[in-house]
Amino acid sequence: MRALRFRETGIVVVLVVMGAVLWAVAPRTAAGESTFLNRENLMQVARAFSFIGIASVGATLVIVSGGIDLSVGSVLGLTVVTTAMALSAGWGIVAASTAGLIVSGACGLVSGALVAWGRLPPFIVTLGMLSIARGAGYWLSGGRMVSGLPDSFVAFGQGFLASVVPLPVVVMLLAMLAGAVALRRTVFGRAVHALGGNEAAAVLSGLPVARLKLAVYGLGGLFSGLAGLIYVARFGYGSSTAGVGWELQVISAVVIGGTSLAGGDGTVVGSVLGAAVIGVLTNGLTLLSVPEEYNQLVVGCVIVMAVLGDRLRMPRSLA
Amino acid sequence: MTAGRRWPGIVIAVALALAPGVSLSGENPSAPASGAPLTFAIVPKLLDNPVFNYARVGAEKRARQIGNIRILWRAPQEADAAKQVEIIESLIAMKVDGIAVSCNEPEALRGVIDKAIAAGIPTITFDSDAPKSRRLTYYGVNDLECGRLLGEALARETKGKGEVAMLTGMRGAFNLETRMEGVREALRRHPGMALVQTVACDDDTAKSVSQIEGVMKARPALAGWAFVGGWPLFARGALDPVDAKRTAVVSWDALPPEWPYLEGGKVRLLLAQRVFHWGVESVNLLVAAAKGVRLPRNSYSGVDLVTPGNLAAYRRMWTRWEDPAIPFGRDPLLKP
Repeated sequence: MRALRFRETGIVVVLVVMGAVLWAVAPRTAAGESTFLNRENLMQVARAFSFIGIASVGATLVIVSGGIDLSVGSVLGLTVVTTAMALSAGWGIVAASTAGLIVSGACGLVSGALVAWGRLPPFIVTLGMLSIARGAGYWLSGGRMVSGLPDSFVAFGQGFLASVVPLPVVVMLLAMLAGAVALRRTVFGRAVHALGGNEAAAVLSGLPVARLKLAVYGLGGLFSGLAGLIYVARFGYGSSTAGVGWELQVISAVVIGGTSLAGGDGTVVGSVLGAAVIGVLTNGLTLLSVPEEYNQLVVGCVIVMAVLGDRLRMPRSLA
Repeated sequence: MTAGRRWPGIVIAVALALAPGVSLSGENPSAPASGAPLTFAIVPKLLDNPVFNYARVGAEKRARQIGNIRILWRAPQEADAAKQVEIIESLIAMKVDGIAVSCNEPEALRGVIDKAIAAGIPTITFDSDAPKSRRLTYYGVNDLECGRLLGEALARETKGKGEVAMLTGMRGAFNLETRMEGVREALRRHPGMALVQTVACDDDTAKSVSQIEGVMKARPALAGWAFVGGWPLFARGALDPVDAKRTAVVSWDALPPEWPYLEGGKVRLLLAQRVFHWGVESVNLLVAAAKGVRLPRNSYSGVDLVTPGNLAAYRRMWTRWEDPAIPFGRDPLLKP
């Protein structure tokens, strides 16, 4: 327990340092207020990374179990298409959202089944699912954008709790809470850690390894789907291009957050904080008007530094 | 595992790994036969961009209108010049009667376009050209000229004064870079204006929306925005951080999700490419080429300049284009 808390402290320090730097150098308004460190900007930044944050909860479960899921962005895209098309066809909000979640969960379960019983490497399986889900989204939508969605759904995505906290951020925090409790405080969570830490030992100690794998990938799909729902609610449209490439951001968030890609070790809170690091960084680049040519370089370097800095604080015997 | 048991796994793994290389295709069955149907292959940059879907609708409708033409719609799932080259090579092997391609990268496609021409297959480009290739003609906008138009429009809307920002999509995309060059050229003619920030959203709508938020936070007094593509406007509420009276927004593309922004006064001008006609004219030009007609070096489409004032007229045109029962005719370019 102590060790896990210590790891999150590392990433919090990184965030605080970034925040302090941006508070110092970001432009100020005429009234002298920081354009970075003000409530509206911070809420906008949180809302912007909420999709990655939500998806990273599921991704943490998968990675802690010793697996990986490259299909996150595509499953999100497929959910976006499914939900948007259902809404546009007149389905109710609950029905459309359920359809989206079922589709995303199904993708996760298929990946999980192939990993668990097909004994295929997660990298290859989810790489295939990346293409399958993206292609399915394109096929379903016919390549068209879906717009004209009901105002009530969009009001949720663009709405606020107590006029302050964007609802997507609320959903992200709830997802984080659910994931953190599941991973830290439940038998399931302990089993996932055990599986990722040493699969052979997990099998020998009688853990239902195959079912565990099915469950984590299924949950991974569900959280990607939830992020997809929030996407549709926030932007009020659907397209098969939603979430292209986002799996890399999600995995970066999880790694920055302190989860080991080897498995067995990691926290959901850390991953969401990792998503925050990426979000704050991109916000900073925009506020500082950093020329586009440098953006990708800077993001890459900061990610590497954040992970290095974090690892240096926690010497580990395993890679 | 013994070697024997490893086999199925390897086969499946390889198949799954190759899956990203498989592209989707669509076929339009030909109309009443009067001789062998002509098969035209249209190769947009990628499948995953809704804007090309309108081109497909246009192509298939025009093909039905003419009759006896089969359309093959082939593209990589995501923008990938190498995969486009592969696709065109297989089309050459298939001996199609014509190819129309929107190039991901002009130089990367040059070789295979020349190969198609050498193989006797009429080949044209649309939307995104390969000017140094031997393509018979290019149909689409003149990106540099239209970039200048966009820049001039922004200068008009801001009365030639103030700081402005620009939004682009995929970094390094040839046609986007050319549009931006046009915008910059136009802005340079107005010494009272300064292009203070350019952001690239990698064609990601979600990213573009948060970039606009960030820029408006840092520069609340921004006089204007030029979008060289409509990515943020596909979403709703993308311009909430923008005070329409203070900041003039002009954008490329006038697809239906963007129209409410004109109606709401958030956007002053949309520079509309003739997206249906990428498909329509590809068919027309390939038919002409098949008949041996010599095509001009460039067949610029021009742009419709859509404003809140003429949106109703544009809407009517769009409805006609989309209606499967109404054939394509001559539609003069819309002026503000």
